[in-house]
Amino acid sequence: MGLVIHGWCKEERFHEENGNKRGIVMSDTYIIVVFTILLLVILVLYVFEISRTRRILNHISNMLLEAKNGTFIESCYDETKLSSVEGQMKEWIASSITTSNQLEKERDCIKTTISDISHQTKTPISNISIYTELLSEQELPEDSKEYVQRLREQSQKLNFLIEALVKSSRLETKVVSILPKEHLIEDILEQICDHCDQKAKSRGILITKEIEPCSLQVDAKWTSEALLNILDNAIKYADEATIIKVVGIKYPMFYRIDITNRGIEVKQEEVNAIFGRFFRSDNVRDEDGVGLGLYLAREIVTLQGGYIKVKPGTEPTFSVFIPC
Amino acid sequence: MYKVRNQKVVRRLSFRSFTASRTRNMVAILAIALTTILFTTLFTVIISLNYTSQQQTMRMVGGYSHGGFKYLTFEQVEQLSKHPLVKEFGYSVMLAMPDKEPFTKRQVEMRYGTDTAAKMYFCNPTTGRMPREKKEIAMDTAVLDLLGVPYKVGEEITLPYTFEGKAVVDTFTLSGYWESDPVARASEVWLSKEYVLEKLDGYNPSLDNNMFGTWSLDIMFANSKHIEKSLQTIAQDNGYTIDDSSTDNFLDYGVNWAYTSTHYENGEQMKMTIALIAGLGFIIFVGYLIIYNIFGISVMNDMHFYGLLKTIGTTKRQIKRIIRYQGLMLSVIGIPIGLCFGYVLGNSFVKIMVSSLSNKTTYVTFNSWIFIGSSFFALLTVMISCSKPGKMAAKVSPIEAVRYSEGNQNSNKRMKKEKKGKHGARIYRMAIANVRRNKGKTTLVIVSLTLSLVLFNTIFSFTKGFSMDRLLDRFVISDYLLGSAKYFQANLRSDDDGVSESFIEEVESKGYTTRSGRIYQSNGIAQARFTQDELVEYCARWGGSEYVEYIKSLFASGDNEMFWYIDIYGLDDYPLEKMTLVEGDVSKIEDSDTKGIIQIVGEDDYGNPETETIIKNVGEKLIIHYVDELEYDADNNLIEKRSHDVEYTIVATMMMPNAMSTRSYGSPQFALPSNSYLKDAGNSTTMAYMLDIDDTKIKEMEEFISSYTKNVEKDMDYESKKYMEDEFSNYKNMFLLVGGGVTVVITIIGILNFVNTMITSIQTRKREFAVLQSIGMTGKQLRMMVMIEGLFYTGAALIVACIIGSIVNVVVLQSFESMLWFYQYEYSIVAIVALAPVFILLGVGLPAIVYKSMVRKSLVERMRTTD
Amino acid sequence: MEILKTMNLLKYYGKDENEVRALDGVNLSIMKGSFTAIVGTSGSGKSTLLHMLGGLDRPTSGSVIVDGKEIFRLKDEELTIFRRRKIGFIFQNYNLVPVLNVYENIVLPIELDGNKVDESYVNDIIKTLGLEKKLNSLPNNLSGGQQQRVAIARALASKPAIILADEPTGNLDSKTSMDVMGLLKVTSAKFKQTIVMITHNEEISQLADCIIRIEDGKIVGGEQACTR
Repeated sequence: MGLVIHGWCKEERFHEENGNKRGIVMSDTYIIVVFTILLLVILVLYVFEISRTRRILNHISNMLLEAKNGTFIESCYDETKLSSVEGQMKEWIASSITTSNQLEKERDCIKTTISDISHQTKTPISNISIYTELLSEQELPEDSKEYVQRLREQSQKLNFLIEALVKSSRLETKVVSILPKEHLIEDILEQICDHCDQKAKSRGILITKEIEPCSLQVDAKWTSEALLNILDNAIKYADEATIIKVVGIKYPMFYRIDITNRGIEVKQEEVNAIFGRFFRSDNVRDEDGVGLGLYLAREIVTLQGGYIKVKPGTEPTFSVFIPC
Repeated sequence: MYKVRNQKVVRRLSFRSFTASRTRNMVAILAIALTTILFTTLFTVIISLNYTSQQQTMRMVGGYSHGGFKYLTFEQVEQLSKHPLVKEFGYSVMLAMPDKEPFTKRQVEMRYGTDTAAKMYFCNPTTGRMPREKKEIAMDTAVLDLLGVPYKVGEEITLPYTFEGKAVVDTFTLSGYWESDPVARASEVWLSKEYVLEKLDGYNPSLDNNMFGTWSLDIMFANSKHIEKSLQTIAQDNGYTIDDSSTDNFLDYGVNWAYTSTHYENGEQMKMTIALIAGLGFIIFVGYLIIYNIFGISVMNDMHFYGLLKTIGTTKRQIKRIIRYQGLMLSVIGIPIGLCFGYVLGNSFVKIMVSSLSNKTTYVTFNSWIFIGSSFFALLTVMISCSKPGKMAAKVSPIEAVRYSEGNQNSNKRMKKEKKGKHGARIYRMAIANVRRNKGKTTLVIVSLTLSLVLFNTIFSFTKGFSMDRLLDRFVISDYLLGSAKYFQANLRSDDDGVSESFIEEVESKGYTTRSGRIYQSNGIAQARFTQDELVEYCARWGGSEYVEYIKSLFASGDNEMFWYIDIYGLDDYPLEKMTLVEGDVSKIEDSDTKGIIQIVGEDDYGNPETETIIKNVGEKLIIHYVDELEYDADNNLIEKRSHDVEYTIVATMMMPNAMSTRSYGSPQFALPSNSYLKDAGNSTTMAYMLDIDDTKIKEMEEFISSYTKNVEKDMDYESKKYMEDEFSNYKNMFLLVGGGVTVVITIIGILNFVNTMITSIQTRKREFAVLQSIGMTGKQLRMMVMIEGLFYTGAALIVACIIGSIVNVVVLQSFESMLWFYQYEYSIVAIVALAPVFILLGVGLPAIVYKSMVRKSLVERMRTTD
Repeated sequence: MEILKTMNLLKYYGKDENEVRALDGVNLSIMKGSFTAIVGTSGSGKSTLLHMLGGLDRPTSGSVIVDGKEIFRLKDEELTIFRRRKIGFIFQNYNLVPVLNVYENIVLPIELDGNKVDESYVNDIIKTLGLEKKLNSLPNNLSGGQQQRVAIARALASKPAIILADEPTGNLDSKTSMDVMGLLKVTSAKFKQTIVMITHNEEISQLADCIIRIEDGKIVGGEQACTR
């Protein structure tokens, strides 16, 4: 290279080097680009797979929800596995619906049967009462009179039992429904206390009232029935010449009615059992009673969104809570 | 009625609660130490740099005295030195300045001086002592080398010098010597009082312009302020004046400009003060960020404790005091640590900065102000950081504090009461809601993380922009440029200052050369005719109006034209190629009909021709007056003995790179091809020798030339591309190192802040996490939640840093481009992107680790209410 | 149908002299749909028992079977997920997540499971508990009783096999306690949930269908099996 070109030599060399570098870089870049593209493709595929699986699982979860709500309809009829799973689901749902429907029907059947029976027996029983009454008015020998008296008692008991059964079965089958309306609780309590006044006085029992006035949404008839049952029990099982306390307290979310007596002990272990159908504790063998009063009371209160609590012992308190 | 003495109990409470939380203490001490390091480094750098600069200047000037009087009689010396303002003084008298061999190239002064004077001139013997006996002498190693005398006290020295116009040779004994200072421009040789006074007896100083035989008095005052005024006072009090030089009682004085030059002009000082205040404010801010955070968190953790104190009757003030005491105790430990490290760090920085900016030595000073200043500022920062947490603790209502949990702090104030939305129970949403619980704290952490990122990026971008190309373009035009040391110092005086032939031969003999060429030039061999207008226009550029007036006065005699000194270059082909054409046609110079000459114009910082300095136009004629020989006339003035004129035509104006020029300004410059030059000028001094070499041999050549110029021909020097490249890298690295060092400290602080926040936030929520796990949140989900929280901090910091970093890049760094010619702006947030993985890892990893250490206890234990 | 059963549950702490027998051989059987109260003084082991039933703590020996699954055969993470789906907790101090509003707190376990919320069911619970107007409120803006109601709703929302309540009225006054407990009883009856509650309050315990007494880590009274 001549002297003159020498001056540029440096720059030329610089470009040459750069050029070579570029050459090498070219093939390098090529490989890197291909590799990156491959990587990206794999990544995309992977993400796609995951989202597909997720979609399927979501679909199945929705199916289950719909099934629960009873709104499930198959969404696709094709040869995919999903479709066959859907088909299986539908089958199973249908059969379980049928089963539960059947069970429901059988239960209803039973209930209606009981209702019918109770209804049907009403007439013959009232007839028995009438005839027993008639008989008692007749002139009879002494032991006959006694037998008639026993008959009377038993038929009364039978009557009472049937009535209670009818009421409870009606409640259960929802033939009669609870219709809550605005009432003043103090009025209701006043009523039932008056109703029991006679009976209480006959045993020398004083009923004290401490009632916080409150307006509640209740079915007056049925609530009175429930409270009456409890108060009745209280009077029945109380000792002579004691005090029965009726207290009404307003709570933020409930209204509490406490009925406390002193008398036959409510045993701790039986606190739950006494609400059972036909349950009679050993203590009360001697008294009259069928064992349905508390059962009914609890049904009524529970249907209105409340509950009953019992404080056991010799001075037991029955607390009725009604939502307000 | 005196107050109840409850300081003791307060202090005891502080001490006990202080010893109770070890992690908090260690973190706080670390933070305080770091802040102190920053302060100390700042102060050390500023003070040491200042001191170094001052010392360097003083050594260049030749002494550290504040000022003094010159050309005195001995009686005057005695009189003036007694003045009360004089704290310390030294005086000396010069006998001679030998200028014959071997001192032709070095200025040597032979004096008698007091020991104090020797100290003041930085010329006191480190081995041996000042001369006391008549024939004793003391000198520095440079002079010893020139005389070829070994460094040994007691050596015999023969010293030739000129006195009263006659050559004198005398023999002396070396009484002491010291290491010569490479910065000093002259060497001192001390003689005994007896000898010098004997020689000066009967000598009339005015023979040699009062240089010899007169006394100099160098004075140190109490401080370096108002030196001139103090001198004036001393003079006036003794019946002299320093103002009017025509009167009899005039005293010549000098003020050491090493002191005044470091008192910058007002503008500079303002800038320095502002920079200092900005630096202080910045460090206070950074330190505040973290120390406040640490104290804030620790106060929050101890809310129970403070509430309890309140229930038993501690007042607000006392609680604030407790916290302040804790801060004080932590500072007592942390600040000294920071001072030590900061001092060492600061000095290392100064060493690095000085050695890369210039090859001079660094001077380290142990100025107590450094420590006082940094301690003060560090303590100030700690106290400021304690105030708000102190207020927080004091305001605690005793009852609330007993039931304190992280979610309930500001229960009455700005706490949200409601929150719309149904999907907040997702993990990531919970994580974000958690982070937003305490917006103040979150902002704090993010700010400190962002700060370190932005700093890192800015420094990185800044140093990236250091354009090697621009540097090389400006300073280097060939692989090597050989010249005399004087050439590179811009100190050409005579023909002896050219590059030596032996040097060129040695270099060429290596055989690495690919291209080379000479640049001929010598001072004062040519003049040219110019008109008044041309000269005025040209000279107005260099001097002010005064200079212009001076020029005009030279024309006063009525001539419109005048001969003015010019510089003429003779250029070989290779150097000729390096020039850029501005105007005209350079090929015409080959024409044998016209005597062509090229007008030279200089290069500015950006590589553009300084067109204002073009004095003549292309095509104009130029008459050059060559001076061939000079002689002294009867009055001892130099006059021309022989000369000749040549007329040229200017064929072109070309720009010459500064690297190959005389590196001075003031005279118009022209150039001829070498053969014409050698013929016309008759002078063959080569000013510089330019060469390119084989690229593979750069390392060998560099080693060779550098050792040659250091050891063999010490008068020769060189510039090389490699050397420039190395220098530039060093410069760049210095920035990186210093800036990097500061950034590292700040990054540590930011990360520390983050770590602290994460640890405490997870610890405080121990119970909450246990509850979440009891209702069914798996450990994995919980860990994911805290990892997202951590990621939020670092992620937000990264994003904000990108934004702010970009802004700083565009706004600040771009403006540097116009200020620093070697800087080429380039937008870059590479640094932040590079750090991103680290930060992300940190944000995700740290919470995971903390979480792991927390779950070691069983669920039930963690759920206990009493903590 | 038996929904919860423990077999010879033992929990000992410490060694030799310092040995504490928190549970000393407890055999329980809880029927589905019942409301059981476990009553005892502090230190009797009732809290420990509840923690065992909920899988929050592992016994020294013995097993707990929830809905047919022996829970302590599961690993920690599996147990947590089991707990999330099968067990609902109500704590003494509500333990709601402070950064989530009422609605979000209620559906938290469901969301943690990644399931879709059964809106109608959850709305029913919310209405029964009287929380419709407070859905957007944050826990710090609710009274204690309201917070506990939210906790009850949360326990019910995921339809667990069993709800465990740990002194649920401990932080509430007597009137609020009765109210909150009343709601718990009514809603769990309505939604056919099984509840096991520990308390030292006699009145509250009377709300339960049956009471089990525990003393010194052993069952000392009450029924061994609860029927409705």
